[in-house]
Amino acid sequence: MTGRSAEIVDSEICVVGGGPAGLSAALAARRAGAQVVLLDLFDRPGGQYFMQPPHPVSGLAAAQVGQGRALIGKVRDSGVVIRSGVEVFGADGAGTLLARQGERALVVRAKALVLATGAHERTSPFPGWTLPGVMNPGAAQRLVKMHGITPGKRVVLAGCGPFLLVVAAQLHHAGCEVVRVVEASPSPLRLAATLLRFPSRWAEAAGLLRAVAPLWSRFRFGRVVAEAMGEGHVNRVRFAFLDGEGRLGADDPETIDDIDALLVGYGFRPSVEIATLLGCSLRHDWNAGGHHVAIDEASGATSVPGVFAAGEITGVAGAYPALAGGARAGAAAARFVGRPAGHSPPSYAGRADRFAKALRRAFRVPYAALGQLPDAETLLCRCEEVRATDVAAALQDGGCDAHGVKMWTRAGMGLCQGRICGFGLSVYAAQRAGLDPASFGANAARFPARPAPLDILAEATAAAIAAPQGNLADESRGGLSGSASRD
Amino acid sequence: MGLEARHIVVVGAGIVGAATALALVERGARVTVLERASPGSAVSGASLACLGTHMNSEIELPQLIWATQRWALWDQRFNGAFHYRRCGQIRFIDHEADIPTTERWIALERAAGLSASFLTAEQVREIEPALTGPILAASWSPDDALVNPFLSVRTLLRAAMDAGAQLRHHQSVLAIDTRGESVCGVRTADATIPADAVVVAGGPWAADLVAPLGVSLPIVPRKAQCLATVAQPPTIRGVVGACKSEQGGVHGGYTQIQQSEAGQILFNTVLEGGKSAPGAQNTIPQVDLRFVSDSIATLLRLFPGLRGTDVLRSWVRFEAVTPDDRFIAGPVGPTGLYMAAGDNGTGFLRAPVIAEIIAAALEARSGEVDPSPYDPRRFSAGRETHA
Repeated sequence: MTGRSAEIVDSEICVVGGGPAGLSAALAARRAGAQVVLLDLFDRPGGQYFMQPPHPVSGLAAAQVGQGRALIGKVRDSGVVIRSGVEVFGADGAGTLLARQGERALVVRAKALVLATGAHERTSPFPGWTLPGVMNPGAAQRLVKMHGITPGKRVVLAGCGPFLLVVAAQLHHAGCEVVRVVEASPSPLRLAATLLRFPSRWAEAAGLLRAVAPLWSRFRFGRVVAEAMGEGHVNRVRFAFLDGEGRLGADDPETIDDIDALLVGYGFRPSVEIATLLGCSLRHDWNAGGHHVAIDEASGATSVPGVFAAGEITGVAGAYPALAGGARAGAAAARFVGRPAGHSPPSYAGRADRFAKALRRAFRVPYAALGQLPDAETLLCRCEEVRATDVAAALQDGGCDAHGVKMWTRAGMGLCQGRICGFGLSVYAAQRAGLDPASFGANAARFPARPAPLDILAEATAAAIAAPQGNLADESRGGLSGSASRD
Repeated sequence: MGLEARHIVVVGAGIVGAATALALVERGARVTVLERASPGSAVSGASLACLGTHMNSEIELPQLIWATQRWALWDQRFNGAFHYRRCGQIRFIDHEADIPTTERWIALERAAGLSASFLTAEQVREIEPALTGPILAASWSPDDALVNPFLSVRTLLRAAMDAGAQLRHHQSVLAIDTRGESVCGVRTADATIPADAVVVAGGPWAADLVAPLGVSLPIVPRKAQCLATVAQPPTIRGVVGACKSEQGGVHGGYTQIQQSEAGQILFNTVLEGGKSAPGAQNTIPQVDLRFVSDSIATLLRLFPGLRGTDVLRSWVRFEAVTPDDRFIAGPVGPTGLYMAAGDNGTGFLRAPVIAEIIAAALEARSGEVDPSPYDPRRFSAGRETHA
């Protein structure tokens, strides 16, 4: 096409994702003697949890940044090749990945893959959610940590889960006026009870509580954001109470005015796109964030031989389980390529998993209420401007699954490839048509997993076709047909 | 024989099942449509939904002309609900050897009253200014049209339901039941549904459904693939395809490029494509890399201005292929069993024809179109009576 050709990268093991799980997997595999390349989407490794700002950091984030820096250092020193700014968009058979780094096409061939692609924030539509100034807490956190930019002067946070506390503390530290923190769970008691059972997390919890203590009077429990309002930008927000079953109850009479940012987050959904292209089996469980990659717990092995997974894509659980899962998957991948590793699980592994499960019980996402929030005109798919009423009509006419809704309304056909609207559509369908999220399904990721220019796709596919097949074990080869998605 | 008071089950809610259900319910039948997933979610929803008589099928030309007229009538009747647009079709020519073939097609279409014509490369650019790639010439069929495939299925099905048809979606038919020499109903996981007649419009699943009744039909799945770019400003006006080629015979290749109403450019080029393994339709794989590579190469050769455009998505479904590329439509096996499958990747245009043939067969009258090209008995195996 352009006379350029793709760069071919050969490695025994390729790790996709440079957050806690991916770094940990790369280190474990490398320490077992395997040759490892790690591909990461961002400019610097670390993921969301170990995000590495270009400038010094103080406050709550400092310890976390330092911990991440140390781990990244160990990974580099061990001889892992870290390639940043790499977008993986395709897979051929189990051993070959198609990617781009800037304007260059990249084809990576490995004998084993470890997928550690993390999670996306869940976006849940409500009236006014598309107003400028409304964003996800994680996006706001990245703005503050990486660029020193605050999302606004007067900020309201709302949603569910401990991540909200972390972001509230960081925004407060960055100088924002945090006007309200609205948590859907009925009270802080369950969180306190959970924490009491895990002394190992007391220090961390104490640090977080100290950081949010000045905000304590701003906390409200048992309610959700019902509507964001404003002319061209959010400046007002109102809330609704939840009943005992997690459904919408009465309106909260309080409205908050004169805000310039509203951060709403109901947790994360696993980023299973690359795993889907490779044909890995998925499962659905709201407690794990929705559709996630099914693995053998002991090894991180997916349903596709030679493909391992770790971290949030195997069920959203947080950084410590991700580190432990990464170490397991990295060692198992090394064994797979003939580098037996004396892997011993980190001492915290079991405890971290139990803590993650206990936290999920403490913070119950009000799925029913979220599905009730959109009114007829609320956009459920922003890219294609699909309103709730359009989706309701499609459900009524028999388009009763994610694919049916997509065909009949175009919801999910736009630029975000369904990443943003997928969660909101499934909670809405559950409420509107009584469809459980597992049977409603999700629109499976399709090639390319991220939008990529025609010429780069052409270079990558040409190179992948011309190069000898991926090097995975014979039984896992999909051949050129790449008939990988056995879901 | 009227269809009043007869209960007819239509298996499959793709474009053929939807059109058939509408035809039957309008003739007085009680109709139940059974669909294994969402309506139109198999190959109908993956279709580029081009309604064109051009370079299509010589033997079926009268039927295709009738079909294009029926689609235009539907467009009027349903007030543009499925976004019918008569955008025309260009078939580009790369090889001198293909010019006589193209001229022959144009001549036979004009003889049938159609308005196909021959274009020089310069004339092509007047119609498709962005098509600046090195082509030799092209043919042009101004009356060919596009419809929105999803909305077409939905509109016809809605009309059938408004007229009294019942849709049971997300219900697979597990078996067709017979009593004596006649069909008597179908079974799903949840229910046994009595029926006076069963119409199988199940695309690549159709042959497997009737096989237990001793009916053997040569319908096999074939992988159909497509790519789409992110939305672009208006760039491509109509349908751009490859001419029927002498290069490599009937398997010489296939290209279709068009821009959707939403602005996404939809394109595919299949240079090698055989049949898929039996049962392939049950799992949906990713697109083939070879397909991606060939499709992009063709698109950028014709439309070099698109070079930096992002590809957004791809999809794969399975067409139902027959040995002679024609549908199998009409009675098969036990009394009351009718086949309406074998789209060969061009089922959208033919759906009203198949619906008319099935309705006429059920009414035991001669219909508006000649059913002979689709007669199931043309395959010897289709003559077997049920065991």
